[in-house]
Amino acid sequence: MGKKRILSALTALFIVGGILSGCTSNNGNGNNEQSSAQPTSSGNSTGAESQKDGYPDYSGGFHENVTLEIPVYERAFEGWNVTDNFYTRWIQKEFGDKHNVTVKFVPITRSSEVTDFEQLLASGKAPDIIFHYDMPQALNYYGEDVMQELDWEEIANYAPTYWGKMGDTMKQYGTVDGKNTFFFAARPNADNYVSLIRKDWVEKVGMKMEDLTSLEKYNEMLAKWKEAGLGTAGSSLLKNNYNFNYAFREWPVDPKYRALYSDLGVADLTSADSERFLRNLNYQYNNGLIDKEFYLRDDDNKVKAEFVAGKTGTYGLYLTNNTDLFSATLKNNPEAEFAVMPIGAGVPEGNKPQGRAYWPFGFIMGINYESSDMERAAVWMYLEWMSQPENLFFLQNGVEGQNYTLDAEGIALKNPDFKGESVLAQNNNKDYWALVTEIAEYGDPALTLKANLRNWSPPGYEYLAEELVANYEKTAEFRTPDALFSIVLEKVNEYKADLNSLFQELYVKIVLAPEAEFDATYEAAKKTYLEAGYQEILDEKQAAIDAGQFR
Amino acid sequence: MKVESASNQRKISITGVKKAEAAKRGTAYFLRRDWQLYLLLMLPLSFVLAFKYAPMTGLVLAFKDYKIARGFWGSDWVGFEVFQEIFARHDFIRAVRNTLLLNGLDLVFSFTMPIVVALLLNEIKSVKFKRANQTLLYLPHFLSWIIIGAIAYQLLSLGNGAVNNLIEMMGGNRVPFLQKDAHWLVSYLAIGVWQSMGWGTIIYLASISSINPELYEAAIVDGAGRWRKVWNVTLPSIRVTIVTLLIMNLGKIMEGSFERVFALQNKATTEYTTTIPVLVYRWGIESGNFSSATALGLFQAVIGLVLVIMADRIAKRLGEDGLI
Repeated sequence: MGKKRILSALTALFIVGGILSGCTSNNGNGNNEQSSAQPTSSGNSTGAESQKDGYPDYSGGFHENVTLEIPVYERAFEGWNVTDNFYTRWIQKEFGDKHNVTVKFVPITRSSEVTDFEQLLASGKAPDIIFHYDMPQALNYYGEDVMQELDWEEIANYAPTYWGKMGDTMKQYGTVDGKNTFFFAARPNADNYVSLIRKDWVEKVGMKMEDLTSLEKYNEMLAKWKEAGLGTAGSSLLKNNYNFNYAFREWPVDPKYRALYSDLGVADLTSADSERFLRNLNYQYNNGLIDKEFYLRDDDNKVKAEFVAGKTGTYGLYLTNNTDLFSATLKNNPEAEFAVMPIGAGVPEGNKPQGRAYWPFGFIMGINYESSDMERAAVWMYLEWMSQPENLFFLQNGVEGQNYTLDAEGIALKNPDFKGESVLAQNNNKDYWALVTEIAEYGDPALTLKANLRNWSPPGYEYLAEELVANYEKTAEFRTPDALFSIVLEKVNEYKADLNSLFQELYVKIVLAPEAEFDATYEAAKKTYLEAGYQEILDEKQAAIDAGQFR
Repeated sequence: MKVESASNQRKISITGVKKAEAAKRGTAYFLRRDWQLYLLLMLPLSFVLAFKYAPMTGLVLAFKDYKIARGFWGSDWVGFEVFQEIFARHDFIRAVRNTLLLNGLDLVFSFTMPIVVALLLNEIKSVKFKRANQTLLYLPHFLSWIIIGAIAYQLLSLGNGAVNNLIEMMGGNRVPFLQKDAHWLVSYLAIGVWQSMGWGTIIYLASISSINPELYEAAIVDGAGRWRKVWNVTLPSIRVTIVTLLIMNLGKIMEGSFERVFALQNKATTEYTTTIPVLVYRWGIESGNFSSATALGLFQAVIGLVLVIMADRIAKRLGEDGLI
């Protein structure tokens, strides 16, 4: 009996201990929550700093060391350590040490950023800034209560330059349910995404680039490619960014129709635009015009590999001057010539070359609910510091004489062969400076354009960047942004992941179906999709649209 | 008979005396006498409590509308609402069906194959050859599923897979090993068997090696051949091991490896790739809906527990030792 009693006593002790330890860690969370709910308390209690407009003055640096955690995209660039490199050390020295701040970078995997943030948030280790490029997901974070309410005055106080530039955007787009929530990076009006096509293939089948005026003509050419045994068009699994059916939409766009269906996060499988898009894809697939295994190409490297190997003749990318695409492709196919895909090539006859316009901001950011007042102030000060032209320029271009030289106009000429200590990340360090702007800018727009062209042009391929810019201007009038809802769409959050997965399943099934079975497969898919939650999303959106809660 | 019962009585009286002594001496006596043992017990006990029981408090999430910012205890109770909601989800029924199907088939093939392989390995006379074979068979167990998935697509894909290239060279037609639903299922099972069969033999081989050689000698004297020896000596001797492992495997029939499905799936063959672990990942990690994921995990665990207990009962009824 005695043994048993001891055992049970021990067990009870451990269970109680375990539960207690569980409680204390959770109580800890509760306390944090309280402190964040009362924004001014801890800031005032640190006391020693003199007050200015009601906000403590930290211009001389914080009295006690503050750890600032900044998220940064991890894009798996070879040989690049995102959290510890020349520039992170430079930031620590120039900003951190001068303000008594320890700047810590938290890597976020680019291709699974939401997953990473969710895990960090759940374990209480998320950085001070929570960011995302698209509003629906940003609203999702807001809906999870993981973002603090912001005080515009506070931002204006600690980051006057930044506020001067972005204040209006924040006032216009940064409030949700009447609460100030988001702050933004600037997005100058420019884009470097380009679809490329193998010009040598086009010419080999007796056509000219100018012949590709419509989708019909393009499909004709693809058929000739197939006949000549050259290859197919590149294609990949649609995921995450559902902006595939713009060329199949009617013009002009009805704002309410657009608000209901156009959504980067949830594909509008059931719209007539998507039907037309899928019908074409089904035709292309069944006639061997596109990569037969497109559904296996689920990340960019796999799509790129097909193009580089000379198996596919089209590929889309964000053009940068240090891309290895051209040299890699030429290694396998010395005769390869590259051209920008003509505007009309993906657009059915009679349609307009529509596209998705960016919102007038880059990163959408919020402050972690667990961040203290001092940490929040440090974020504003960090943005202010980065908004200073000389700091931004250094982050974007590196060390003069090493990474670049200045030409007569004051534009930085990059040295593409530079491999020294201060080498920039493959996308010119964008993941660090994207907190304040999407694209590097000079004071004068003409100069910016010139600089952009240089940043986007690999040596010898300047004509690609020029054509890309020309096309961008030509199609400007046909670009529309997605509607912005001013409320949280609960159903979108609830069903998004399920519908994403279901959409991929259904659309692949539709595309792989024999042409004769397209209609039946599509109808069945529509029904499944609506029943799986899309109908509820449409109903919720319709209610918001009827109430005028969108822009 | 009488003698026996008398000795029994004496035994009882002796234990009776011991019990009385124990009651007199109390807890402290035993603590002092066996303190080393209790100390030793603390290690596994604290481990189990800290890592197995304490996390179970997290199961309350299944009954709450969990918000990260409000914490475990601050979130609102919602009763069985989360369960009702997940049972109504589009993929739920399919996920349960697939989980049972994949694991049921796995039980048929991946569970039996190691027994067969162990029996075969046991018949190999040359020690060196046996060792070499064992090592080769164990190797796949140490590969991560992500690597296996990548290799599988390199070898088996329709467009470019090495195996398909070979088939075509020899005049055959390309086979969509991983790119048609039924083919995928077979490939999934085959790859699973390949990955696990070597490792699975270890326990059986250990069990076989402890069989008394005299049994074999007796069988030989009785004129038994190889088959007879396997059937009448080896298999009955490792039956307890087989039943124990079977019961343990039945407990996993609602689980299934997430990595395995995740690494081998593609979007053209989704009929069998939606399983419970995949849904837990999608709901919990991808969309941050921790309550739904927890509820699904709890549902899966409860079914698993019921299955284990049932299997145990059946095993006992069939005259085996059982597990519990």
